[in-house]
Amino acid sequence: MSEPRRRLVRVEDLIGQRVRERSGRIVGRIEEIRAEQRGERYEVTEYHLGSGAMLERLAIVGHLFGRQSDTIIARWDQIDVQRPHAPVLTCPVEALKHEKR
Amino acid sequence: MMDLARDLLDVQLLDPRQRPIGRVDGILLEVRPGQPPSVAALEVGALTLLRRVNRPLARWVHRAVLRWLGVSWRPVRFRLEHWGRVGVDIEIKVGERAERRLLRFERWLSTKIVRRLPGGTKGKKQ
Amino acid sequence: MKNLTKIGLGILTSVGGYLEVGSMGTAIQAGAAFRYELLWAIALGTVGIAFLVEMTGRLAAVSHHSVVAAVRKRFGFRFQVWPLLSQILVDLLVLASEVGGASLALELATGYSFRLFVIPVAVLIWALLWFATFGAIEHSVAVLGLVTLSFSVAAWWLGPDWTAVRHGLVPHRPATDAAQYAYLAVGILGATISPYLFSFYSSGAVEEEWRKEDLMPNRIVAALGMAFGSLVAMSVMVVAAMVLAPRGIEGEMYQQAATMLSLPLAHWGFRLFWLSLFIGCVGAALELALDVSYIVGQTFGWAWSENQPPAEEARFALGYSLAIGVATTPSILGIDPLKLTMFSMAVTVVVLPILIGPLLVVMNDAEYLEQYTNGWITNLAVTTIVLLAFVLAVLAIPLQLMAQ
Repeated sequence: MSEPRRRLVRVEDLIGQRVRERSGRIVGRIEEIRAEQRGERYEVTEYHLGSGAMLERLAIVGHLFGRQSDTIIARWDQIDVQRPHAPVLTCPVEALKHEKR
Repeated sequence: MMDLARDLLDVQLLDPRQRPIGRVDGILLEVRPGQPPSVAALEVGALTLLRRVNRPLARWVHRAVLRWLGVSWRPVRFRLEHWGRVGVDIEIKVGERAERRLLRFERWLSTKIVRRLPGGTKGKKQ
Repeated sequence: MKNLTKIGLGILTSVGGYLEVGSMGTAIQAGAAFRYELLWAIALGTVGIAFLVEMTGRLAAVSHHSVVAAVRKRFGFRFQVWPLLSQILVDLLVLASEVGGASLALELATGYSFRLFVIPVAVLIWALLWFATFGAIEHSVAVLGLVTLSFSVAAWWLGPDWTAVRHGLVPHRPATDAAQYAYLAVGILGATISPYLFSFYSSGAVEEEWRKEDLMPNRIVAALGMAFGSLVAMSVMVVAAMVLAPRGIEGEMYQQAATMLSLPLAHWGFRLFWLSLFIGCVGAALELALDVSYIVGQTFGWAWSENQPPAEEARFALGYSLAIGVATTPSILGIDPLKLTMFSMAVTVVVLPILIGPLLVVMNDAEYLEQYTNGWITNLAVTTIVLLAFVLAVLAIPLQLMAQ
């Protein structure tokens, strides 16, 4: 029985990467990766996607203009990060949660 | 619960005696099909940092150092274990083995050069 | 009582350490060419640096972070690498100017070419950092630097036309040679709003473990220290205006400019001039070399402290040693220290927005400053001054290059 394939992927490679649907359409950029401690492991629970605009990433725009940015929240199983430079959505876009921050 | 980019990346590392010893330059996730990715290791190293700025340049520097100095310049990796929140920061304490590896260059510089110069080891009058 | 001593010491350090090759060189050139008409540039720059120094002191007291550490943490390394490289570049250029300036002071004193003194000066600076503590360095710079008050004494003795002085404090267009006027204004702004000043200040504040109780002393030291320091710089310009301008002596003719104190202060004047230049430059060089070590160490998160013997913090010592070594290169090659100085000041102004932009973002972030974030006045003042200086530089530098 072979071991399930295991890959090491860098967080700093994932941050800022465009996430696409299977069709190739861009959904957003990974802006944050949320993790929770489960026993001795720290497991990824969510990916937060945004438009990826530089100013928004630096959280300046919201502060200056009081505008809220739209964040898309994907569960860990809704994005395939095996190839960190081309993360792919594993579910329909409609299944993703939206949040105003 | 932590946000890896905001809370863990670039965070200060402390040695067992609470002194600053480096920053988290990279975070490695272990990805397995059917399971949530998990934090496999933290990475500290100038090349890891350079890689974040320009990957091809980092690869070139690694090869150049290997070819001209005969040194395999590898980053230090260790597990995320002891950490706590201090104000706006997360502080991570590294173990003794990681500490030794992180201070390799410092120790070399101190022993081979600094200690051999006059006044290098004198305690400074406050 | 302890607070009062701290404040007094802080102000003393600011005054004693204010004058160095940049502020002296630009003030002399401006005074010789335009008399009092560029006093406003010193005033404007001082307001800017006072705000910046107060900000970084507040950052250290509340978040216990230096500027560089806060920017790396807040923006990540991929962004921070650019302000970091810019600051190192500017620090090295200004450090090279100070080494050149100190060597020039010794040329004035002895008559031998400044190039002979570059290595001894560099060794002196290195030895002071190697053997002395942070406190000892700061205090000696403060006390010895008081020799620069001879300019203030001279200015008062010469009795300038106070109406003209008042007029010069208000920004206005010059009667002649707008290109050189603007270029000198840029130089003065670059000398006054030097990044190492507030960066070093914040590193010192973190090393001394400032707390929220230090917020008020910080504000006082920033305001009064910079204000009194700027008076010394203004004195230099006044003396140049009264002694050099009428005789048609230009600032670049430093052999003759050095006699500017001889009229008011007789045979001590010349000695005080080169002593002021020498001490001012060495003091600034110490801070600049340390600043390079500090910002590199803070970026990588290493233990960094001037109070540890070098063997305990070898990389920190390596930092300032390399900085000093690199900084001797231009002067050894024979590059004129005053030209190098003007060039460094211009580069400083052009690079300022890259350095101060991220700082302003951090200063408005409640995660770092809690309830002590910037007020709108501070934000407005700093943004306006920095942008103004930048625009002036972008306009003035090409014009000056074309005129030459």
